Amino acid sequence: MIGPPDIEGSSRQDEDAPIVARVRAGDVDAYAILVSRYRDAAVRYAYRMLGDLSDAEDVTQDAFIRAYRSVTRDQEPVRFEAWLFKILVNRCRTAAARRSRRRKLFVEDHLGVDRWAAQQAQDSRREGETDFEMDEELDRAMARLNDAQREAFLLKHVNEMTYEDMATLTGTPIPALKMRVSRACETLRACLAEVYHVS
Amino acid sequence: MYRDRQERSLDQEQGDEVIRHAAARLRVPLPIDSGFDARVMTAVRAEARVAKAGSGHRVVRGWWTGVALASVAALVLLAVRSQIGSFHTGTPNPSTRGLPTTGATASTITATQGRPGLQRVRFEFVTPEVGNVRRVTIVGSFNGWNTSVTPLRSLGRGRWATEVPLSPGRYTYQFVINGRQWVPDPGAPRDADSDFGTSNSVVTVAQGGMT
Repeated sequence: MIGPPDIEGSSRQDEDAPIVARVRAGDVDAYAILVSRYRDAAVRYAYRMLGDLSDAEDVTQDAFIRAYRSVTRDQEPVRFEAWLFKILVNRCRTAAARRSRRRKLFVEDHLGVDRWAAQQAQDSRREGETDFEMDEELDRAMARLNDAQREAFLLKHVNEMTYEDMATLTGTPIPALKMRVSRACETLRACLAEVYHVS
Repeated sequence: MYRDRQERSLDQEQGDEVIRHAAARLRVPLPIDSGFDARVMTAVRAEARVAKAGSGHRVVRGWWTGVALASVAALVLLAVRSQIGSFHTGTPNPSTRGLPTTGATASTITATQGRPGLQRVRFEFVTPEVGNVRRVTIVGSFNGWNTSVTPLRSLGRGRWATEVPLSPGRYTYQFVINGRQWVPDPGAPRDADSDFGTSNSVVTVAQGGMT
């Protein structure tokens, strides 16, 4: 069971519930709505945890398939998003552990970098190299966080989850999560204050 | 006291411009592969078909699996010992020239009964090059040689697998590594006809199983 949802979470829950009910009733195609709704956030989280866009897409695909299996065969989830992210967090942990055994570096992502660079080049809103350079600094700063800190920071500040939800889906006590987020913020602040011209 | 300090620290974080800026940049959409949703839904529909077929599956022609596994073990051993890059024979497929070879590979195929008239054929691909293989799909006469609609799932340690529902018939196929490198199945017979220089692998699904 996931803790008290915030307003946005409650709204999403209301929107997801009838779709989940359709999927459980055998409407497979309805699941595409949930995939489309949570694809970006899920891949983004996985990418930031794994540092490789191709791996992130694979892990997210696996999480969606496992979530579908659970939704149709097990109990009805109280909130699909939290259900999906609980699976995704575990899949990322497994993938990261496997990759650390292969000694692959966090920043080693040629495919992701290439595609990212291509998108940046096409982004007409960009004005010069400044944002790109700052993003590179951000990548380096994120790579300095350990996996637990990166996980907690992303769930709290990027996915904007409550500590109650984070505790449920990570299995980590709230005080420990707060400490990890605090440490992550300290590291990012130290690395990025000058880059962002903030004192 | 300790908790109060934590709460104050949290307030600082939430008001912190650096963190807000970083979080905003981390929320910028990624260039996700445009075929992502289709791939997920293909796998989900396959999952649904398997579930619908029920739990009464039985392995057909178990002897074939044993033979296949034995030949695969021999192939892997042979490849590792002789440092063969892959099991390509003849002229390389033009689309794969210049690409690194995949490494020793092996596969198994088994068939189980699914819906009436369909056999669930399981394709398994094994490679020792765990770090270099990031995506494996299968292309064949059963999916229009589409490189993205039938992905194999990673089972870990270089093992990948998928199940394809096939009606009785003869099918040709290859594996596609990382979306680029076409590799015939070392554990299956080859097609005598070759359109591109590298012969395709063949699987024949009979009424009662697979040959």
